[in-house]
Amino acid sequence: MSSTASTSTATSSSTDTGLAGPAADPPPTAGATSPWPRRLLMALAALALTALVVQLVGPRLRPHLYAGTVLQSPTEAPSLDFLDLTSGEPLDLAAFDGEVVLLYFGYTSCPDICPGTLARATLARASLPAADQDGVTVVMVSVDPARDSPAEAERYVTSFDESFLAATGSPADIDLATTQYGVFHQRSADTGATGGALDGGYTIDHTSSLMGIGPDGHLRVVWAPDVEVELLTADLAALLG
Amino acid sequence: MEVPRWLWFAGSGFALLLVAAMAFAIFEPIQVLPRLRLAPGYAMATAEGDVVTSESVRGSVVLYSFASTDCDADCAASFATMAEVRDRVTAGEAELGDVDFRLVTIALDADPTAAELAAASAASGADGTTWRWVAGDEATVANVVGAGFRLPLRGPDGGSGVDETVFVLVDGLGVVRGDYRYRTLADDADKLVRHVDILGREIRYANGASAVAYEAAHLFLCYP
Repeated sequence: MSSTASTSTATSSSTDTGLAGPAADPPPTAGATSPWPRRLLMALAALALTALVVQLVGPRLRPHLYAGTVLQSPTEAPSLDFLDLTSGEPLDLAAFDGEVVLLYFGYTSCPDICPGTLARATLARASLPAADQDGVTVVMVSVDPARDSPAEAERYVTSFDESFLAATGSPADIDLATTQYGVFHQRSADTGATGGALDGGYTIDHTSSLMGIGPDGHLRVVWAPDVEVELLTADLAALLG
Repeated sequence: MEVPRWLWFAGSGFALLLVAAMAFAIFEPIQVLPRLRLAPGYAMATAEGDVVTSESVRGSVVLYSFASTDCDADCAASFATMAEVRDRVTAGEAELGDVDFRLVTIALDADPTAAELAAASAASGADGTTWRWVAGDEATVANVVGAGFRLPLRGPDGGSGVDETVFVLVDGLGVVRGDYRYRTLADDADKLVRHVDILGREIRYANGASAVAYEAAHLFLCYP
């Protein structure tokens, strides 16, 4: 005769209270990895996305990168004790507060560098939106008062643009102004010929930089005479704000 | 609280940019000298009759000093500083590369004779090539030194000269990059050499994409 012991075993670890106990942790699986490489990937992806956003949005937020040399001078541009040859009135730089003044030292008999530089200034100003063009005034200071009469100077600058101004002063005033603006000028050997440089007369060696005086009256930017028109236009727009 | 994934992305990128900006400001991998103002235009003559102009030194880094031709004891310190800066820069202590370095001493007395100018040049230690003395007439000195370099030309006793030792550092574009006044600053050859080095590095490396970084340094950093 056999007997089978029956055993009763507890079949459930839960009691009949209707509450579920805490979920048991899933058993560790083979090959589990640290979460850190994944987080590093996420950080690199975030950096790449940020770089993309900066590339797209940055140019709108970044300060303008000037083509000319930006001066950090806290002082106002040196005043010019000159006569406005186009109006016959004294030239007062303070009258241009709120505007950008493109200042250039040249003369009407200048064979090449002056017309080239003034042509660039003309094109750059004309490339600005119409509303901004009135905010830019080009002034040429003649370093050759002996030959540049008021009529000749006015004819010369207005041949580029009707709005351009010409000014000059006594030799002493010109020497002072050119010194303060870092402009060298020296008359070449006198050939004895009358008339302008193109007619065999003397020439004047001079620094041909374009000076940008900002709306606050401070000398802000200096451009080389061969600055590209597009870059000069962009710089003028930035100066106007 | 579980952080959303998009916040992880944004926060990580922003944090990295912030750390980069702070590192740029703290460690100053790029140093620049401020662009203070335009150096004056001028034409002045040496004792040999050569004319030195602001255009003839364009492209070179120039250190200017100012002294009367009869200044001896009072100017000995500044002459020694000029000589030391010249020797150390030409020996390669400043990274100028192919950029020329010159020193110019402007005579404060108007129209000195060639002999007086030559004697002052020799006594100061100027060699006549890298370091030259130049002079001009009264109006030129007043314009260039007074209005251009902004030096008070006459001391309390009304004589020629200035009351303080002054050096002015000008870059190849004719922009004043350093204006060193008062004895505690002006006699410091170490500082002058270091600044010539900083200027030389900017001239050599501020090209292409690096130009943006150098302009950012001009905008956002304090100056050394």
